[in-house]
Amino acid sequence: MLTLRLLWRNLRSGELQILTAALMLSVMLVTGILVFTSRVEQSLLIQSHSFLAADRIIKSGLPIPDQRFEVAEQFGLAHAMTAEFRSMVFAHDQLHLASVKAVSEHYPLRGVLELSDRPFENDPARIYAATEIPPSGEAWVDSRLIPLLGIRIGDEIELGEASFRVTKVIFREPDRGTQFFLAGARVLINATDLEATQVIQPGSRITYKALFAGSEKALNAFATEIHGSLSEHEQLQDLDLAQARLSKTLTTAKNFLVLAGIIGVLLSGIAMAIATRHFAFRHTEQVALLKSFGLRASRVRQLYFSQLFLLALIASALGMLAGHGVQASIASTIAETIQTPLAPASGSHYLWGALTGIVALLGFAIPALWYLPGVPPVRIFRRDVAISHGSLTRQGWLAILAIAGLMAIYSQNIAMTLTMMAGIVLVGICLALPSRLLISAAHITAKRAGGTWRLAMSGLIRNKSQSSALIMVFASAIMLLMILFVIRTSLLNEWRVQLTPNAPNHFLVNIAPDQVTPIQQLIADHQLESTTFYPMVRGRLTQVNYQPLVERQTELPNGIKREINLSASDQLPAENHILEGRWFDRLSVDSHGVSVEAKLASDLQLNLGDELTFSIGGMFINATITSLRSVNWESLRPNFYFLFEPETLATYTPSYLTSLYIPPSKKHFVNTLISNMPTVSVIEVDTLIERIQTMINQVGQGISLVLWLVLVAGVLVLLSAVHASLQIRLQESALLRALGCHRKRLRGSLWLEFTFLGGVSGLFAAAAAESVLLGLQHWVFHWELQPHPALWLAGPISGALLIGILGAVSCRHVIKTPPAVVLNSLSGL
Amino acid sequence: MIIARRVSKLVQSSEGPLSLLENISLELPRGESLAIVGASGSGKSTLLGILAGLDIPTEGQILLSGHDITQVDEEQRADIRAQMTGFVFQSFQLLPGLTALENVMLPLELFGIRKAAERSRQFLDKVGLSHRLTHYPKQLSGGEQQRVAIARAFANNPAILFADEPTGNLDTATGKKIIDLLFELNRDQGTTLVLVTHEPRLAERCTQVLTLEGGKIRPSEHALRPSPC
Repeated sequence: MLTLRLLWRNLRSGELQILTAALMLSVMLVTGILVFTSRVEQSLLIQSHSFLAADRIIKSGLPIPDQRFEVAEQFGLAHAMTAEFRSMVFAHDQLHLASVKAVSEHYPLRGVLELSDRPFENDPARIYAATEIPPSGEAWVDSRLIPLLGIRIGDEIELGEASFRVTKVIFREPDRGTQFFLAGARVLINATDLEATQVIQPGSRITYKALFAGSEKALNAFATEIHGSLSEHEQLQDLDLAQARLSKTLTTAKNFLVLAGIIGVLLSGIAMAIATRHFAFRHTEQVALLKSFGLRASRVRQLYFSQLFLLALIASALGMLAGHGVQASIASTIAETIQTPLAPASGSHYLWGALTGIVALLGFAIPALWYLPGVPPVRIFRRDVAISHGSLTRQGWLAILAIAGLMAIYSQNIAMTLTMMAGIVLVGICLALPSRLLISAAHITAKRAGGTWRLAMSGLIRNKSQSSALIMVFASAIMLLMILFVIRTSLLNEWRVQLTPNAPNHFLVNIAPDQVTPIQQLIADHQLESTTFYPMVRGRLTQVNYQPLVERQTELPNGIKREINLSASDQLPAENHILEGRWFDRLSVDSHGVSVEAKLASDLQLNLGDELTFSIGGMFINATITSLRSVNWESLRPNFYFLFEPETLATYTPSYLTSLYIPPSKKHFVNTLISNMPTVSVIEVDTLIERIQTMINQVGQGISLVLWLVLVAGVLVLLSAVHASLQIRLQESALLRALGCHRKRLRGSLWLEFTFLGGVSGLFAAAAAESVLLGLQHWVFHWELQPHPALWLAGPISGALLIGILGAVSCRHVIKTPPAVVLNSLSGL
Repeated sequence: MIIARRVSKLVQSSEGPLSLLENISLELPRGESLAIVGASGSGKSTLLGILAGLDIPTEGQILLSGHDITQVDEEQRADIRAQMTGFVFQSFQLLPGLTALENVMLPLELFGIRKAAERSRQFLDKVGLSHRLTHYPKQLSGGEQQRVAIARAFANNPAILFADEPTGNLDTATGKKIIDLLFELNRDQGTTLVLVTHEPRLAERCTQVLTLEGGKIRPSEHALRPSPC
C-alpha cells in the first residue's frame, strides 16, 4: 500500500511522467509493431498458403501413399489430393493439349477457386467462389479452351476414355503458380473420374500433391512425424518454392518489419534510459533526505524498485492497450485499402510487449537508479560530497545486452541482431572521442567569432560530457531512422522495378512462323504493344568443346538433362545483363554465337569461347559462347538459358513466343485472337500479377506506416533528450539573463547550439548508418553492396534542421521564464 | 545524551589532506541545547553531520544516548537516526511534489507509524498551519515552509533535533518566529537541540555555545562544558 501511495504521489507530482511515458511508449511500440507485423506476416502466410491451396503439401511423381493421409488425420489436419498431367482433350474434331488437374474433395484447403458461368467473364458480380469440386462426369475449364475446341458451356469433351460435360469456367485457381509456360488450358475434373480416363499409364509424367491444412502446431507435429518416412520422390513444402518471387517478397518484408520492430525497441530503450537517468539525478537529494530520516539503504532500494516495478506493470498494461489501439487503427486503414481484413492478433504478442517493458526496465531503468541507495546521507548538508552515479559504460553494456537479448529472441535473426548491435556499439565507441574533439574545435573557432556563436559554443563546452552524450543519442536515433528509411525505400523501389505498371500480363505461345505478321497486325489494330517475338525450338545440349556433356565432372542442373527451350534474339531481353563478353555484333561467320545464363554456365563450368553442340530434332548445331548473362528468373517475362544470335534457329521451323500487356479494358483482344487463331495459346497472368500487386501494396503500406510509428518514437527520444538537459539550461539562462544577456542573443545561441549538435549528430549518424546498411545489405537482405552518398548530405542537414527546431521549440520555456523565478527556485533546492 | 570525544575529520583534496575538524570534544545532556557558531567554512555543518550520524569522523568517538555511532555500519547508524533524531534544514528540504500534510506524514509512513495523518495534522496545527494542509511547498512562504519542516521533524518525536541554520533563508521577523517555535516545541517535547547558526540571538538562547574556527574549538570558549575524557 505504501508503495502504491508513494508511486501515486510521484506520478501526481510529475516526477515519473517522463519515465512512465517512455515505458508506455516502449511497450506500445513493441506491442503495436509485434502484433501488427505478426498480423501482416500471418496474412501474408495465409495468402502464400492460398498459392499452395494448403498450409503444407507433399509433392511427388508417384501416387502419395494413403498412410500420409492417415497420419494427417491423427493430427487433426484437413487434407485433399490433386494430380496434374498434360493430355489431349477432344471435342467435335478439335483437339488441344490441356493441363488436366484431378482434385479430391475439400480442394482447395486454402484460397478460393473462382468460377463463372461463361467464358472471359469481366463482370465481378458474375464471378463466384466454388463451394465444392466438379461433380463426377463434369469438367470445369479455362475460358480459352471454349474457342479452342469450338464448344459451348454444356458441351461434352473427351479425355482419354472418358467424357466430361463442361459446366463451369475457371476464373481464378489459387495454386496455379507462375511456372506454366507452354502449359495447355486447364481442365479440372473430379479425382474419382481419373481412373475411367485411363490416361495414366506406367511412366506417365504426373505430379501428385497431397494437400494439408490445420493449426501450425499440428502441422509441425505432422511434419516431424512423417519426416523420416518420406521417399526420395516426395518433397514436403510449406511455401510454394516455385513461386520464388512471392517467397522472396515475403521474407524481405518480414525482415524489414522485424528490423523496424527492433529499431522501435532500441529507440524506446534509449528514451527510457534518458528518462530514468534524469529521474535518478532529480532524486539524489531526496534519497539523502530519506536516509537522514533513518531509512536504511536496503529499504531505499526496495522502496524505489518496488515503485518502478509497479509502474512497469501499470505502464505495460496501458502500453499494451495503446499498442492494440495503434495496430488496430493501422490494420483497419490497410484493410480498407486492400479490402481484405488482416489475420486476427495473437495474445502471446501482447505478452511479449509486456515482457519487453519489464526487460527494458531491468536493462535501462534499474541500472540508472542503482546508485541511489548508496547516496550518503550527509549529502543533505553538503552538496560538495561526490556521488558515484555508477559506471556509465557498465550501464551502457547492460542496456546493450538487454536489447541484444530482446532482439535475438524477437527477430530470431542473429545476422540482423549482430549487425544492428555493431552499429550501436560503433556509435558509442568510435564517436565518443571525435564528438568531444569536434566540440573542442568548435569552441576554439568560436573564440574568434561573434557573440552569439561564442555563447552557443561555450554552452557546449561547459557541459562537454552532456553535449557529447546528446550527440550520441541524437546520432543513434538519426542513424536508426536513416537505416529504416533507406531499407524501406530500397525495398519499395526493388518491388516497383520488378513490377512496372504495364509489365506484360499475357503470353502468346505456339505461334507458327506464318502467324507472326498477322498477330503483330492484330496487336497494332488493338493499339497494344508487344515485346520481342522469340523463336523457340526444343533442343538438348549434348557436347561442350566436342566432349559429351555427361563426361563433365559436374552435377547437371535439373532440366538440362532433358530438352529445353532454345531461342534467338537480336536484342538483349529486359532484366538481362551481360556479365562477360558482348552481345551479338552480327559479325560471327564461322560459327553461331550463343549467350548463356551465367548461373548455368558456372554450374556447367562453361567459359567464353567454349564450343557448344546442341541436338535439335536429331540435327546438330554448334555455337560459340559469346557472352554470359544474368537473368531475373522472377520477372514475369520470357527467360531463356541459351539465346542464339538472330536467324540461327530459322531453319528449325521454330514456334514463336511473345508477351504483352493487355489492360482490362482491352481484354476482348484475347477472344478475338483465339477465335481467329485457335492454335495460339494465350497464358493469362494478369490475375496473378494483380495478386502480387495486392500483396506488395499491403506490405508497402504496412512498412510505411510502421516507419512513421518508429519515426514518432525517434522524435520522442530526441525530445526526451532535450528535456533532460532543460534544467541546466534553465539555470544557465537565468544566470546569463540576470547578468544582462539579451533574450534575443540567448535564443540565437540556443538555436546555434542545437543546430550544431544536430549537424554533427547527423554527420556521425550518416557514417554509422552507412556501415550498418552495408552489413544489412550483405548479411540480411542479400543485396548488392551499394553506398549511399545522399546520406552524407541528408544526415547533417536533416539533423541540423530537426534538432535545431526541436531544441529551440523545447527551450522556449528557458527563454520565457523570468530569471528571478528560476533563481528563487534554485535557492530553495 | 550527546558525547563527542576528540573528533577529527580529514578529507583528501587535490592539494593533499585537508583537515575539516580537529580534536573536537563536547558533552550535551538530555533536554539541553547547543549552538554551533563560526564563520563560513569553519566546519559547523561538518560537525553537525558527524554528531547526527550522517557522516563519520576520521578519528574520535560519538555517543548518542550511549550508542557509539562510530563503531557501527551505515545501516545501524540509520536505525539509530530513525530512533532518536530529527532534522531541520536551512533550505527546508520539503519534497516539492507533496502537500504540507504529506511532507510531514512521509517519515511516519516510511517507519509504519500508525495514524500518521492524524499525528501530522496535530503537529501542523501546533506550528499554526492547519489551514495549509493541502498546499504544496511552492504555494507556501519561506516561513511557512520552515514550519512544515519543523512539524515534520517533531512529528517523529525525536530525542535529539539537529537544525542546520534554520533561519538562514528567512527574513528577521520570520526568523524570530521560527526560533520561538523551535524552542517552544523543544521545551514541550523535552528534545535535545543541536543547531548551527550565524545568528547571535539564536545562539544566546541555547544552554551551550560552541564556536568553531578553522575546524577547531576557539580557545576562549567559555560556555562549553568540558568533555570528561
